[in-house]
Amino acid sequence: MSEILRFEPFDSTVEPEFWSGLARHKLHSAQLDTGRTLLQGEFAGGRRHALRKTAGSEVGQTLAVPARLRVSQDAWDRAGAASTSEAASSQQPGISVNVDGYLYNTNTIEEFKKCDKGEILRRAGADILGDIRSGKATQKPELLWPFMLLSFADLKKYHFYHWFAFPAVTADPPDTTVGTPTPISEAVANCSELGSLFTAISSFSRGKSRGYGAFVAVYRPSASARPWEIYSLADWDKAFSSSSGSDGSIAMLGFVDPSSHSTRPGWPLRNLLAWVRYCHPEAARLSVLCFRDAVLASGNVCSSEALRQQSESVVIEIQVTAATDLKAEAQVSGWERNEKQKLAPRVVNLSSTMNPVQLAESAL
Amino acid sequence: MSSIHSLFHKVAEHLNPVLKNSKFKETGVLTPEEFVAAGDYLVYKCPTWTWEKGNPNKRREYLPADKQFLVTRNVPCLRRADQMVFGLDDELENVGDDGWVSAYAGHKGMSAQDEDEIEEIGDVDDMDVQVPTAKEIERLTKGVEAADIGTSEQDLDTPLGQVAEDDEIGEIPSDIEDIPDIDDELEGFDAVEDNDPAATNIESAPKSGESGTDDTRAASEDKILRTRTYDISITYDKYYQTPRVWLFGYNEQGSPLTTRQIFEDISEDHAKKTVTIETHPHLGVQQASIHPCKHAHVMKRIIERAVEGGRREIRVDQYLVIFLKFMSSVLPTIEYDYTMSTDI
Repeated sequence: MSEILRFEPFDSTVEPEFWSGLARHKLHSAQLDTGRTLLQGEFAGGRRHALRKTAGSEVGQTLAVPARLRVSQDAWDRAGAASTSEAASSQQPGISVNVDGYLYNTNTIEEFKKCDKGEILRRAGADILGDIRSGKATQKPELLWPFMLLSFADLKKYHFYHWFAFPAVTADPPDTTVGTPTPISEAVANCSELGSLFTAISSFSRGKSRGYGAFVAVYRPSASARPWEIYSLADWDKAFSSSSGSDGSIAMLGFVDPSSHSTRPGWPLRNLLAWVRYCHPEAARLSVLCFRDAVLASGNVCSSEALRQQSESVVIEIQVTAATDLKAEAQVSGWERNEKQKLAPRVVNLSSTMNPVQLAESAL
Repeated sequence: MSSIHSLFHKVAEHLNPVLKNSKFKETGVLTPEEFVAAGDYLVYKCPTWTWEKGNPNKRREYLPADKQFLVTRNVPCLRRADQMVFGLDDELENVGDDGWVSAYAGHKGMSAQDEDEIEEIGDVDDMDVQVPTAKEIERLTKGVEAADIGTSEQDLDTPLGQVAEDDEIGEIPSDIEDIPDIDDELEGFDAVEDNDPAATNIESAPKSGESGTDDTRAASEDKILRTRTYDISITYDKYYQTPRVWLFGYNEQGSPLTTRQIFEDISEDHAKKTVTIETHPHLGVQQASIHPCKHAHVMKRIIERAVEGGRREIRVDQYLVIFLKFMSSVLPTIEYDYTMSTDI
């Protein structure tokens, strides 16, 4: 059974403080400059949400929630920092993945409307492909997942028009899945304790604010002390060659998956597969670990049984479309749909929290 | 301060003696140091909660710079509070209009051990314990409400972070009307997206009016459910010396909720009575907050009941975990992570 591999798109979440940051940025540093500005966003592994046990509902039900990409006040830390230096690290390195974004702030609503959305995506796609070719993305997989934010801040009314894009290089024809996605607790059950895998990933990610979002997980039963080992993408060849034996060893491409859907992986996998296509064309068929248990792995769940029950990561067998040629013109998609599931921007009205006149009135 | 931290990490399961002799057992209040210790314990036990540094300009000197307040984000809220059915009906009758207790007692989300204990706590009529009744709270917080917020009827429908200013109301829709024009300018580009076979469009959540079983059936078919979500934060309230809960809600599409909508997710006994709209001390935006004037009192009762019930003593670092269970009576439908089994 092979089906087209479908991805769960990101859902942008902007905290109100981000907009005050944008207002400051517009007034004090950018002014009329419409060049793109570096931002920072973050996403975390998607956890299904356990529902409370209430009268009439069964025990242990869970709810799949949208994959959030969060932009907060911290986004401006990145904008302020020199682009080469590492910006302020996340509060929880290893649990959430920091990604770079680019702000295109326009000066008028007309500019906002006329802005060439296709060009923004094409440029983003070209950057991603450039990073894949140059090997930068191998060192920093986060470069595969930039987000674009087109905005217009109406600072007289405190209205913020905005539109997010999560550029994704599309595969043509699309990648397909082989078989049905398997929960990690079943996929790994007969090899080893899940705990050992989670511990390995957790220690791989610890202290890293970047370079953590994608990895290769290798299982070698012969190395009994620590059967699971985690390699960075740069060590791909080492990881896969060492597991080629028939001794029951496994190698999986892993990534931090913001999706909580039981079968669909999140958006970041799309560009990661583009990376695989270009850098490792020999990998036609691939096991992908959609890692969603960073919180669980870093927590203190002691029993392996509890781990098995609570784990939500999924393993998907993917038939990767062979690379024809990664052209700069590769089709790129990714504008976010708005509240009505249309390809259109959103607007936020923050007059009550930002308008000094109204704040003064409400303070009385 | 730092010694308390390192000690805490060393003996996460055991409390250091300094905190044990603190005031929280007598009065239910916390020192900032105890708040940090309790926050560390909460983060350790439930990693969905994290410490935040907040806005540097609003930093409180008595808290560590990187531990100003606690937050958990993207918490789904599937049903409205008035749809909640609390446990068994007779249980509800027993506790009468004692708002704080009834919701807590009827709550089914805890371990059997917890429930035992809570029944003890809920058994107020036998003991001469004064847990505040809803009426009492209403009376006590009336002044606060008037002074602090005055949530008038017309304010209720204003999304937080938005305001209904007369001259603007006419303008906003016209601006919004402008926006669909962009669609027209995207010809050709639009097609690229629609032809993207690997993209998934998210199905809308069922209407909130549907029953819980329908919701959960939909979940088992594994659609992504769009629900209301909340960002919940806990700050330290210096005046009341207790934690204080703040809510910022997003609707199914990710836009901020109105005050009236937020009140739908707060149990009726507390909405408009103990919940106020105020400026978040570390973020500078308006959020809904559960007014902490009775927190210490209720926490003290819970702690006392646990001790009288012959349990081992509640440690101060468990304060926030217990506090969150207590808060779940105020926020019955917001599914924040309180699932950890506490050994209280």
